[in-house]
Amino acid sequence: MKKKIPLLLFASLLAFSSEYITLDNGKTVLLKDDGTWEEVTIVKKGDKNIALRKDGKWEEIKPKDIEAAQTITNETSKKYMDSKFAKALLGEWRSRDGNIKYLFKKDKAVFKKGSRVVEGKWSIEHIDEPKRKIIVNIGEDARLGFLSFGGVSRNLRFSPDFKTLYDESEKLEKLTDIELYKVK
Amino acid sequence: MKFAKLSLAALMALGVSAFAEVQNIKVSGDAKLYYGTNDADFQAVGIRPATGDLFSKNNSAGQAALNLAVTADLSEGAQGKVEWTILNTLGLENNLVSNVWEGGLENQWWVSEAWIAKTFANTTVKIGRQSLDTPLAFTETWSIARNTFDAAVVLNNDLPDTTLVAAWIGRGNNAGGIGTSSIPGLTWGNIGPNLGVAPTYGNVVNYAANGMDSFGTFGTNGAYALGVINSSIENVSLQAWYYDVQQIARAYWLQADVKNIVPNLMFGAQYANINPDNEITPDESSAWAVKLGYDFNDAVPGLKACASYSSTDDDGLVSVANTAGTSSKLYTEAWWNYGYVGAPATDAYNITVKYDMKDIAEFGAYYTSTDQGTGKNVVTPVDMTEFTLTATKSYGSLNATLAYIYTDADDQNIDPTTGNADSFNTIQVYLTYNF
Repeated sequence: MKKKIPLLLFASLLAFSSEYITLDNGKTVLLKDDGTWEEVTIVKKGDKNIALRKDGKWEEIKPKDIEAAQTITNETSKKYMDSKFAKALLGEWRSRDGNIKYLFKKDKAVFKKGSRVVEGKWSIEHIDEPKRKIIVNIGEDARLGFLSFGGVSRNLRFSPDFKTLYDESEKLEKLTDIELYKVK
Repeated sequence: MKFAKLSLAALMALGVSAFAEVQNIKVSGDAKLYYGTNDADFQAVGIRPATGDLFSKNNSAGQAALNLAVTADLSEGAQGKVEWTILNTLGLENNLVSNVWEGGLENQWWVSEAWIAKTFANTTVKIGRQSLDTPLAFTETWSIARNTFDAAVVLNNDLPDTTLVAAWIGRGNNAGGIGTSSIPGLTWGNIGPNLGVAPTYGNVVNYAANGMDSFGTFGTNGAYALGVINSSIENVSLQAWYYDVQQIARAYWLQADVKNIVPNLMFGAQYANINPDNEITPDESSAWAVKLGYDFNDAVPGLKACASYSSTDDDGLVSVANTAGTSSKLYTEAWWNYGYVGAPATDAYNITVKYDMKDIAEFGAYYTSTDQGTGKNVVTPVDMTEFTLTATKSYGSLNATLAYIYTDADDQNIDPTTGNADSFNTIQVYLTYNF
């Protein structure tokens, strides 16, 4: 029993230390030890990450201290997220003219077209394997069955070697194939 | 409005019939608040006389917009979209502004997009109200509302590295028409319900007060466009377009863009010709343009610069510009003052520098100068110089752009007593919230 008391104390301390979590919508919150939470702004100073709190305080944090929220995805997305298509998407893709950019990370994606930026969680709505087509949903705010609110839905197609991505949604607007190449 | 309702009904009917096969329906959109003000002494922004003061009510224009869109991925690769655009002044005209960006003071709403698209093998067909992006007939996206078209487009990719485009345009809600003429009062194409209405600050779309149908026939009897876009040669993109605006003009556009043959260097060349029907004028308009750009990414990440030059034929009558608006796809097009670079007998150059400063903002500097000579149809040449600085920053879903524009044009801000034009400064704020 004596051994368990320090362990419990240590565990309690861990439980009540500062915890930063990035939500699905890309915002970061601080879970405070009094059971409340507040939104914080993470800024970079050199190679340091600084958390700016609304009470005027700041704190240096390491990237590993920021935890990604466990995304509750829809059933369709769960089915696809481990597929080779999802894995092939991971990374940064850009159009030749630099006007369109996608950044797919495991827990977050960014879509940029001109000055429009959409970021947040992402999911896969549909995969057509024979045609190598994939429909991704980026920055969704809410969902009701197959109804999705907020963000963007983009239709993409891989080349046979999976090294090039074609933006089928953009093709319907620009009337030509929009090639995306992987930057990193 | 009947057509809009029909398109909407057709889309809904298809959506319902394919209900069981719906893969994804997304509801999204954006809300905008745009404001512009200048210190011109003589050029009124709206109906009230200019005061010469920045931020004064008489020298300012503002408006709010809401775009609400429903997009659907249907069965077998079919897609559809319906979008509504709503414009409202928010009552800014009572205190802060004396003009709107688009339309008029009343609430305006219309179906700005209602289309369905389906892919069969290597061919995609898109039918309905939609945006278009071709060199001489396109949707202008710089104002608070954008013009769209009732059109049918077929894209084919059977040839390797080649996209073939065939388009028919029936109607549009564009306020400007084909190639604004250098002869005052002569405009072509769809002037529609805006005829006789004083121009607004942007003047891209027709007035749609209280849901009034703002779409009219494109040109006289619609238009056809054919395009070939080829990228068979690595890093080279070639485009050729042919247009037949029924009973008004035929036109073609050629363009070649080359990238990275020398690392980080880009080069482009354009040539365009518009041949109006003889009943309108026997004089053809043509233009050519070149550009040279460099991406400094290796030395300064995010920095790009581009210089371009264009020249239009002395004998032309109409401008080489959007047949459905005022701006031009010529490389030299200015950031704000449209209608100059593509005008007949004009030499123009443009220098653009963009810098994406990571985690800070995106900055842009744009210098455009046009020099118009006398020509067969140009009696009074007009020169224009514009210098613009922009800063754009996104705060989550909110995108903000601040622009400063210096304008010195022979046909703007003219002192009525001396007849001389005076330069003036403009500040614009663009706020867009995406949801």
